[in-house]
Amino acid sequence: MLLKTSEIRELIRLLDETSVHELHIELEDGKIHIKKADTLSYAPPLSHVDVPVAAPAAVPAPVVSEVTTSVTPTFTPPAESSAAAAEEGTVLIKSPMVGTFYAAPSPTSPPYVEVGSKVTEKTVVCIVEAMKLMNEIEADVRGEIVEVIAENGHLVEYGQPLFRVKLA
Amino acid sequence: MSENPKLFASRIQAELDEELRALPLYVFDEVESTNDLAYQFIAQSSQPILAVLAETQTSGRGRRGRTWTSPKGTGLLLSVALSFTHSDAVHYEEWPLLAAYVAHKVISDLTGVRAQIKWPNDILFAERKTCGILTELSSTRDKRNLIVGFGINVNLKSTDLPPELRTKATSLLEVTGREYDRNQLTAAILTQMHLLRKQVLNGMRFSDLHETWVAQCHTIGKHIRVAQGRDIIEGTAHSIDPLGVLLVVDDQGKLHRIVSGEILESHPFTHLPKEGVLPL
Repeated sequence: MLLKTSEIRELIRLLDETSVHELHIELEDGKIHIKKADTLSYAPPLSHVDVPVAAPAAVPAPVVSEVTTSVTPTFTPPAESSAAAAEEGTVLIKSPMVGTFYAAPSPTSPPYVEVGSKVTEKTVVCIVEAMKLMNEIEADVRGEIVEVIAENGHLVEYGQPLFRVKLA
Repeated sequence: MSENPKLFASRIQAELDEELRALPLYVFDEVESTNDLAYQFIAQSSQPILAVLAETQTSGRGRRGRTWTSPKGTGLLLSVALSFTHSDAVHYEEWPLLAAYVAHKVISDLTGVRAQIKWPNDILFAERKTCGILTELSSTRDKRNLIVGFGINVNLKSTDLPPELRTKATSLLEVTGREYDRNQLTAAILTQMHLLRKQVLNGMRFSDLHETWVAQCHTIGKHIRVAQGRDIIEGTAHSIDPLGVLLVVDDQGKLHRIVSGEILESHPFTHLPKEGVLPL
């Protein structure tokens, strides 16, 4: 019996809420393998290191490292998850850079926002840290946080959804 | 006169060139956090650069809420706030490395002893931390505000530190056996940061300083454990690329690009020259 898309989506949502990183289920007529994006070995494209907010600078030509390596970027977008699924009237706040996502200013502080928090364009919703630059990320939209997608302390990539906001 | 006078705005300004002398300079006896104050001041200021100093902080912060220990009068607690417009083409993520370059240059020039940079932005003498930097970026309606907080152990005696930090931290006094005027040190950092801001606005990138930076880097060649997000990567710090990314080769030969990470431990290999304080 194949699972319905909505059931797979629910599985992904449940997985997102746990510390389990990978799930493998074998059914009579198929297999499902779900793996969280941040557990993949991730080699970001060089251009992603640039902070897009600093546009319009030209993206520097990729620099070929002198390291001879067989490693190629292994990040592949995760299977459609709650994060990527479109929901009417909502928008995603995405990471403008590769870095570590922090939901709160310090480990002992409450998070900047939670599900139910009202935000305006200038509300700081999180910090993304790269090279020890603590970069405050603003909502850029007005509405209400309906989902916190990224996990505190985990690496996020350029363009990865961090929050879902229901537009006001 | 003591080699370690108190911090005075007038003493700092006396060491600055005319253009910089006009910049807002706030000197306090005690504050919660110089970075927080610098942010509040720059958010309401039309100045491109300003500085906040304090003899001591009650809530001095390192990265992620860690405290920064600095007994009163022994350290330099300096936050430099720089503002940019939203359209300035600034690669903000390079600033922690650029600030480390400034701190390294100023400290090495002042003491005559060559310090080293631990990626991305700590300054070490003989494996011990002398300077930490906390860089924060935020926005107001019409500008981007970059706050660079320097914490430098200047006239600190090792006995001033908690025992658990004595093998991890040192000071300019401990390294050279003399005290330094923190006003002079402040002026040197402000001068270099001001120059750097101009150079960056003229298109300078970390890649332009890459060779010099790497030559002073403590990390390369070490066997390290580094935390990136929730992952721990163990391997050899191979190099720093021209964007400032740390390249680590793990024991399986796989290359890792460390964009956001913290080095937990580093060990020199036996075939490398012994690390230590090298005379210039």
